[in-house]
Amino acid sequence: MLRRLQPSEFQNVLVIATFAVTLAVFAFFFIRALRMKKDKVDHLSHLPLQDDSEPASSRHE
Amino acid sequence: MNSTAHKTTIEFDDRTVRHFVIASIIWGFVGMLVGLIAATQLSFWQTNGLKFIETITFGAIKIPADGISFLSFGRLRPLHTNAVIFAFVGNMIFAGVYYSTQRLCKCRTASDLLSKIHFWGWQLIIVAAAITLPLGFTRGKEYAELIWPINIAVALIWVVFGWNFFWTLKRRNEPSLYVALWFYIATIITVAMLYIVNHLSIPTSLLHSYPIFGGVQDGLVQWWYGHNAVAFFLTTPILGIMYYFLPKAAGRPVYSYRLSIIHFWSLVFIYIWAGPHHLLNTSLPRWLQMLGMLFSLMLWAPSWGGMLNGLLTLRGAWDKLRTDPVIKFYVAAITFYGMSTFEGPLLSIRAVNALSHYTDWTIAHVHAGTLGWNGFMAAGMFYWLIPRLWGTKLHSVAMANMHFWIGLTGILLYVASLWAAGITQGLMLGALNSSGTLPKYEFVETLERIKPLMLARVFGGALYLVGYIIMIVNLVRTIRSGKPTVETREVYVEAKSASSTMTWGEVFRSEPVIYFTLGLILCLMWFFLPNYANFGALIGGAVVIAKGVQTFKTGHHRWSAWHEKLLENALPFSVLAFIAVALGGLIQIIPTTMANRADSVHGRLQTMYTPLELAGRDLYVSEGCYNCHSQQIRMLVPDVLRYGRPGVADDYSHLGESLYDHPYQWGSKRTGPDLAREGEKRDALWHVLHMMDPRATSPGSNMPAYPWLFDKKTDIDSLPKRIAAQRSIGVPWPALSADEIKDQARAQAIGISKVLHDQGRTVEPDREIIAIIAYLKKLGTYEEAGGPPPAPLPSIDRPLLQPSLPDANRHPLSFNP
Repeated sequence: MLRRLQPSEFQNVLVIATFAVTLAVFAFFFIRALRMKKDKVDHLSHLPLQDDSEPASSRHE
Repeated sequence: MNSTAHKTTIEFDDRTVRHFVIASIIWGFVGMLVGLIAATQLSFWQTNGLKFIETITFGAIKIPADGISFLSFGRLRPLHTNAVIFAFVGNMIFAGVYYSTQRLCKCRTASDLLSKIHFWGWQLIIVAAAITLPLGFTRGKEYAELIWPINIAVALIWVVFGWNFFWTLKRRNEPSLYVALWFYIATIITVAMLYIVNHLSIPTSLLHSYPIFGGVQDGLVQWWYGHNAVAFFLTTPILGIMYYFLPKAAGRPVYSYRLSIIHFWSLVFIYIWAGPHHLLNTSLPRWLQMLGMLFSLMLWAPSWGGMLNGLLTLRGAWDKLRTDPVIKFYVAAITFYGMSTFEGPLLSIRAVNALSHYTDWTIAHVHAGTLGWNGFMAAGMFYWLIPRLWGTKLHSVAMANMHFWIGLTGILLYVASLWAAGITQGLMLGALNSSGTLPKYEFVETLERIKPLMLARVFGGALYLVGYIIMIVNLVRTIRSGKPTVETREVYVEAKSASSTMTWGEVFRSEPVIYFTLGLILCLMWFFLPNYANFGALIGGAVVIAKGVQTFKTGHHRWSAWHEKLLENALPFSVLAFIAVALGGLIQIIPTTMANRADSVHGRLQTMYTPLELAGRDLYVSEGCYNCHSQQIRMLVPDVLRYGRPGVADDYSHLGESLYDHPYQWGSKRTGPDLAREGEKRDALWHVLHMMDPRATSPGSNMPAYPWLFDKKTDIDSLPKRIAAQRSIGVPWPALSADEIKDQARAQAIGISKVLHDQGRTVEPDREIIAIIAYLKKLGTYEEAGGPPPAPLPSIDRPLLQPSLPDANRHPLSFNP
């Protein structure tokens, strides 16, 4: 088995393996993003705007 | 409101944000001014010193020397790149991150002390860089020039930043992590990894070190870092800033939050692989070149997804584009992001790269990104932030608009002129005479042709700087009209429940991870197991995956809950992001450690340097010659015919020819010709005359003169330490005592000096010019290491811009056991 790791196909195997890992994990997050609940999406997407609606005050230093 | 929620008042730390904003504005001016000077030097060589004063006063003021060391292009260009990347954009990133993280986490930054250490430490690093780089203290790798003590400081300050950031995340009062925070997490983790690996060095003194990587491996690590410095320093944090500040400015949420998640993961997974596209058609193994090209092409999709997500956030608010300068800058910046991320993959196609690489086209591409995307995002953020941080209104909207239009005109002039210059020079350098046996144009002819375009670039850069100065004036007046403010906010905080915290066991002993890992391992065993057993493993993998799908169908709520929880727990999330980026790097770097060894090399093997040649090489690096000269004859017919030696077959640069080069010096731009075979081309006298006055030997050249090389003495005494350091990283120097090393160096210097004396030129043997000549005369020398003969250069009846040599001829040589 080790002998098969030595020649030039070594790097091909690594690349394919890593690509498979990358693709699989990415596919997982892709599906999860698409299946995210609407209320969760709305909550998250409004986070930057939330502080505009919260009571705020400012004073000079 | 949930019954477990309670109200709390938060006082944000905006003083740190103010400090970073001001630092960014100041360093931005310095960095751009140095860039403008460097661009001017390419058009007017006299500005490499003070000789230009003689020109502009029509000879009334006489300047005795042609050049001044710390003003030369080779030293100023690294100062420009480091200043704009790490000082201008770096401080801007920190300002944006500190401001938005506190608001998104609904808590004050964890530690004011860490914030102060971060700010002042970063500024000290910048000052140290601004002093050392013009003095010629450099590691000789682009955007990684800083000397090792500064690098350690960078790593430590980055850790302080990361520590403060993650501590803030831990203390946050908002359970969810907004996507901007994901981008910040990826930035902090990945930049740390890239910076540390690419800066691994063996010091020889307080101011000098050798990278532990050499030759092709150093090139690969360098561009794994260099490309991802663009990705994870100039892109992902700015995208985080975009996802926070653009909705704020537009007054509406991001167009698609789902798309922003996909944007994030696809960038993180793909970007890290694309570095080798900087080394296309070189002696880098073919599989790495293909990997870099393919992943670069894949980047088109997420980049444009992100751009569209940004632009569509303005749906229903496009009218603000006419009145709000912040929106104006953001829209232009995001458009430039889209344009430059379209151009990047285009330039990564090997055939296109054959034309564009080493020309100004690359410089145009980079500046579309930095001036358009980074510079305009920074301006938009400053115009939005500063009135709020000082509790006032923007001094003048009209001035901001003027800044926008002048800056935009500047970028377009800059980019368009360098596109034209790059394509023109690329085509001219690739053209052959009617018989197809020699280059049609001399290198200097191509330079002459693009000089007007280089001058247009200077005007474009100057316009951009004028716009930037207008911004500074506007912002200073804005600051003067207000006072620093402290913002406090009342927020509702939900009590943290134990169930919202994720343990490591919950992360890794979950159904998704178990099924995925098991299925993948079994499938991968197919590659390694003997016949029949491999098919068994494959079937096993398929069964596990099928079982996983079945479990998902029946218990998808558990998988959803696991995923939701993961996204609310910063540490496991960060570990996953780290695994994603680390995998891409390891897969590229580890195999090249095998390739870059003398016993793996067949054909040409670099001849070891002598001590004096090493001293000369260190001076070459110190003067920044790599900023204009490559040492890599690509596997392209025009490259070989132009830079190879007449009558020598297959004279492209072979992998083994730079095996012992720490750092590698393949370069990324040819403002001057390639030097890979310089050794046999010129004699010592030519180099003396050339270094004293490049136009005496090469009329039309824009190279600076190097008169100081004739005055300064070569540092022979440090050579034993330098050679010992090289030995420790695997360079096979013969066993020599310190005295032998110095004696050898002196003897070789005397020999060169004598040759010059015989030709009627007296140069003392202890001068730096002698060591530089020794090095230049060595370039391109090698021994035959045995093995099969090099691949023949095919006939040139094929399109010249296609890679001309079958790459398969190379990589078997590199990986033979």
